[in-house]
Amino acid sequence: MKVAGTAVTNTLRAHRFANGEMTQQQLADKVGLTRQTIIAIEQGRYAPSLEAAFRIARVFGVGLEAVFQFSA
Amino acid sequence: MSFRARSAAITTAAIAVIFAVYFAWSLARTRSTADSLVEFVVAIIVLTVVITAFEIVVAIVHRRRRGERLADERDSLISARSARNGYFTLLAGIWMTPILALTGAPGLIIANFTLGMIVLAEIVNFGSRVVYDARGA
Repeated sequence: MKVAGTAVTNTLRAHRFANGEMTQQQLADKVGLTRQTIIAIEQGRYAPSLEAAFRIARVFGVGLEAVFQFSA
Repeated sequence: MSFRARSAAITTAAIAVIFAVYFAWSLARTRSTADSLVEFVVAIIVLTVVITAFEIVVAIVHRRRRGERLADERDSLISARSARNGYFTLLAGIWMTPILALTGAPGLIIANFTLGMIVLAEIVNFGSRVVYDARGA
């Protein structure tokens, strides 16, 4: 099945592993999203809201652009 | 597949199968609008029972996955876009109904056509949720 991509790419997976191999469920719990949404973000199938993106970056202790990049 | 996508897939399949049987039965055998109404009520009861039973099974299967049954921003977006698709389908049906009436079609056919468009709109609504969940919203 063709995946509808987004212009927003991310390094979520790398940051999860750099932070004690944090699981998708743990990240989801910390930022108030479902695990399915974290999976969709990692696979580039969903671009999170600005608020969710900031919450994710805050969990990793980095700036927004360290996690999310605009590639269009 | 997520809890919500699985739930939507079951609802889509249940609506499609049960109303396919209803329409096949109603259009082939029913002689009056009253008969069709009884068959419609039976279809609704069967649909409610089937969906409730499958929802219980899906909820049991997903009981260990914490928080998955709560909606987040992506679920809300998928829900809104799917409802929009269903709305456009329903709107097309609403516009076609008076045109069908003007052709002199019997009341039973018009009633079933209208019902069919409502059912189609629901299939589009729940089917869209499954597609958006898999492909991205």
